[in-house]
Parts: sequence; C-alpha cells; structure tokens
Amino acid sequence: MQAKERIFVLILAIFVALHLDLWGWGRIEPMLWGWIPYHIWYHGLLTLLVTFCIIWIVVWVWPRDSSKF
Amino acid sequence: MTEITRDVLAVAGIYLFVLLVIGWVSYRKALPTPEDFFMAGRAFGPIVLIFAVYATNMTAFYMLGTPGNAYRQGIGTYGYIAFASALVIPAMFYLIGYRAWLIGKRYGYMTPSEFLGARYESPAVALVLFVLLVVYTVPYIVTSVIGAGLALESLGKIPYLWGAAGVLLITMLYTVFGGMRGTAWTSVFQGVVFIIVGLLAFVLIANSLGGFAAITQRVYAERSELLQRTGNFDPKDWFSFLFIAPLAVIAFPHVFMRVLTGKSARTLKALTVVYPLLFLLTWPPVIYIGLWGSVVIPGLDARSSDAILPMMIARFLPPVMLGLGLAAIWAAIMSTLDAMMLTLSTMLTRDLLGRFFPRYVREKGREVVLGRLFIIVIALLAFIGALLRPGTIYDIAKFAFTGYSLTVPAMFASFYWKRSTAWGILASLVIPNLLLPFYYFTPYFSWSTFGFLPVVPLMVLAIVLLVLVSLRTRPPSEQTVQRFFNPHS
Repeated sequence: MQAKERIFVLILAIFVALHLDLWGWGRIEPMLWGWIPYHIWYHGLLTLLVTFCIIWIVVWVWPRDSSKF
Repeated sequence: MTEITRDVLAVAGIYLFVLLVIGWVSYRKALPTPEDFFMAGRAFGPIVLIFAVYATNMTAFYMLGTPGNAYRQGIGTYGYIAFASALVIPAMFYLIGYRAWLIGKRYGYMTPSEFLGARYESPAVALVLFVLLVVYTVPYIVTSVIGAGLALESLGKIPYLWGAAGVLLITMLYTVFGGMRGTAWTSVFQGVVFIIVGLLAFVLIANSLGGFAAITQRVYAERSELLQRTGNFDPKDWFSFLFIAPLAVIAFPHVFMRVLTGKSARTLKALTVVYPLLFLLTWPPVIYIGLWGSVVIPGLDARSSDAILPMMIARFLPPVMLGLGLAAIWAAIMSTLDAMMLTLSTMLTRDLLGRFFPRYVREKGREVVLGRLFIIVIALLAFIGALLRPGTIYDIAKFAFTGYSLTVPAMFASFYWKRSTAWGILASLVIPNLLLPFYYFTPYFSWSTFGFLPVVPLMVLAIVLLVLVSLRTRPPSEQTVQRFFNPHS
C-alpha cells in the first residue's frame, strides 16, 4: 500500500468517527424547513464530503496509467 | 379482478414487456463465447456500469426492507445503512475493485473463486470460497423473490406466489437469453424506473399528506422517538453495521463480477465518484415514506412492515401510480435477481463443473449452454425458497451480508499482502464462517460479542487466523505473486 493510499485509509477512519456521531444521538433539532431533522442533514452533509474525498482520490491517488496499481 | 388491479397489471405488464425486448435485443447482439455471455466482453462504458452496479446493489432490501426498518427504527436508517454504504463501497471499488479489474482483464478471471484459487495456487481455496458464496447468495436470491411477491400482493391484491413466480419467470427469460449484456442493459432501464418513481412517490405521498413539513411534524408530535437514534439504535450495533452491508458489497459475487466488466479505468473512476451521490439521491425518499407510514398506518408487526412502501403507495396515490410503484419495486428487485442468477450460474459452470470436468465444459460451446441451464435450475430453487418464506427480508439479508463480509479479509490480503498463504486464507474463511450460524441461531457465543454484532468478533478472528497461519506456512511461488502484484511485468 502506497503512502497516498495510507492517507486515504486514515481519512476513511476519520469519516467513521464522524459517522458514529455519539454527541448527536438524541438530537432532532434543528429541523431544516420543518422536515429535515438533525440526523438527515448531518449525514447528508457527510455524504457530500465523502464525495469530495472520492474526487480527490480519483484525481490525485488513482494512477493515471491504467496498467498500474 | 377489480379495475384498479387491471390498471396495476397493465402498467407492470408494459414494464415487463420492455425488459423482454431489451433481453431479446441483447441476445441478437451476443457472441457465442463465455467471455461475451458471462462478461459482455468487458466493454461497458460509465453509464451502463454505474447503473449495472448500483441497480444490482439495490434490491428488496432497499425498496422493502429499508422503509420497513425506517417504520420500526426511524430516521437513523439513513446513517445506519445509506451513509455507511456511501462511505465504504466506493472505497472498496478503489482498494479492491480496481486491482481485481486490472488483473481480471489481464488474465481472463471472472469469479472471486478463480481469483483466489489462482492467487494461492490452491483448488481448495477456490472451492471453499465457491461454497461460501453459493451458501450466502441463495438466501439473498430468496429475499428478492419474496419481495417481488409481497409487492404484488400489497399493490395488486394478487396472491403472493403469483408475483414471485411471474417475476422469476421474466427475469429468468431475459437472463438466459441476454447474459451479462442483457442484465446490464435492463439494469439501466430498471435503475431509471426505480429512481424516478421513488422520487415521484416521495413528492406525491408528501403532497397527499399535507406536505413534507406537515407530515414530518405529525411524526414529531406522535412518534418523536423515530426522529432520533437514541432508543432505536445501539452505538455498538451502529459501528458493527459498517462491517456488514457496506463491506459485504465488494464481496457480493454479482457486484464483483460487474465491476470487472468496465471498459477502462476511467469507467471505474466514474462509478466510484457517482456512487455516494446516488445514495443521497435515492435513499431519503424511501426512508421518509417508511417513517411517515409509522403514523398513518400504525401497528404493523416486523414482517408486515416490510410492505409499508407498497401500502403507502396503494393508500395515498392514484391507480396509475400503483402500477408504476409496482414496476419500481420490481425494477430494484429484478436488477439484483438477474445479476445473482447469472453470477451463480457462472460460478457453477466455471468454478464447479469447469474445475472437475474442464474438457467436457469447454468443448463445443457447452460453457454457455450450461450457464443457461443453471439459470433455469436456480430460478426453480428460488421459487421453492419463496414458498417456504423464512424470516423477514431484513433478517435474511443481515445473515447473508455477514457471511459475505467475512470473505473480505481474504480478498484484501490477496491484493495487498504478498506473504499471505493458502492455509492462512483457508483458516480465515472456514473457521469464522463455521461459527457464524452459532452466533445467529444459538446463544452459545453471545458472550464474545461484547455487545457488538457477531461480525465484529468473527472479523477479528478471520484477520488473526489469516496472519498467524500465513506466517507459519509457505506462500505461493514468487512468479504467481508477481502476476498479482505486477500484472503488466
């Protein structure tokens, strides 16, 4: 595993910690527009952050030469 | 037959007819070779690959099990399943899928068993992995057929078994004729159907219940506990689930094989980037429908609540939407069912018959013929499974997913640890998977979970066994290791 891949695995671990979100388990408020409770907007936001992270992986870590790892 | 039932069946009939046409067209384009029938020549572009993999990943579990879970356990279902999947699955596409794709393209491997068998120069490894994947795929196929029957029963008031049999028959026909190309092309159509209908149902049901805010505020007033995780989920269970559904996906043989069908690395990159966004787009609608169902159709038990999505469509949407709703549920189910049937037939043809009777299988184009025959046999067995109808969809899927997940350490080691050995892989596959039923069906080992799901201690055991046994046994030849770690040398 290369150094960049190790950084990627570390970022994954940070996302896992954010996903556990132990500080927000009992929260409902703030409820966006009256129908999006805390859990949905928090994890929706995390999903967008994951997407940006994946774009970073694809552009910077994934080999451009498709014959290599 | 009522007028509503006729409308539902007419719309669903059009949907099924389109599938048969796509299956027929793909049959006309096919070449009579195993590489074309089982892998479509590994030539799918980004659109087909994204839909082929995503629609395959979405099944009865998504359209029925997930709203049912939201009905019982609330809004946390999004983070529990969808976010966890949006995080882990794309990461696995990069860490495992890309390497498998590269090596598969270079050496012509199709199934996970072929990969691991060749990597460790061990028919035993190939055979054990084959048996495990068959054992976990069969119940997963049965959940799909159960889901298809439940949907028709709820929406069309037609007996459960008619729906199960009809969906199996149509899926079998286009899979037998179209092979991988047919199942992937139909996945594009099916993916479009269930995404659009899911979004449409979300908006229209909210509208008929007074709007998004009104119905969600009603849930807040009557069942506020469903809008939070405390009391509905356990933190240890929450953490454990990361190792079940999300991690299992790359080990699904039907997903693994589809990842190998990408035309280029760019195709795989597109799949990896789009995947999390698809979860964000498609999961909240079905979760909200299940959540709203908890106040408008209260009091359902666990098994009945698996049908909350079709019940909500039937109660709150006009008749034409009932047919579309049924088509969407079937689309999610059939896009997985076809892939699993094709994959299982590929494995039976290549990993089982191909291993023991290689000359017979490869002569006179028999590989494709046998593949088609196995699809028919699998469909018959799945129908028998649907007759027995064991457990809720959610429970069946959870057991199968845990089994798949326990094969991931072996897959990971095969691509990242040169020192891993056949004996290490065998130990990590056999012992945890033998213990798995004891964890699920007996109380004997519950002390060892420390409150986590069984997947956690079993995963730790699989990794420990893999490392310890590998360090004490001899690795494969350097030449074989190089084939996997430097495939273009």
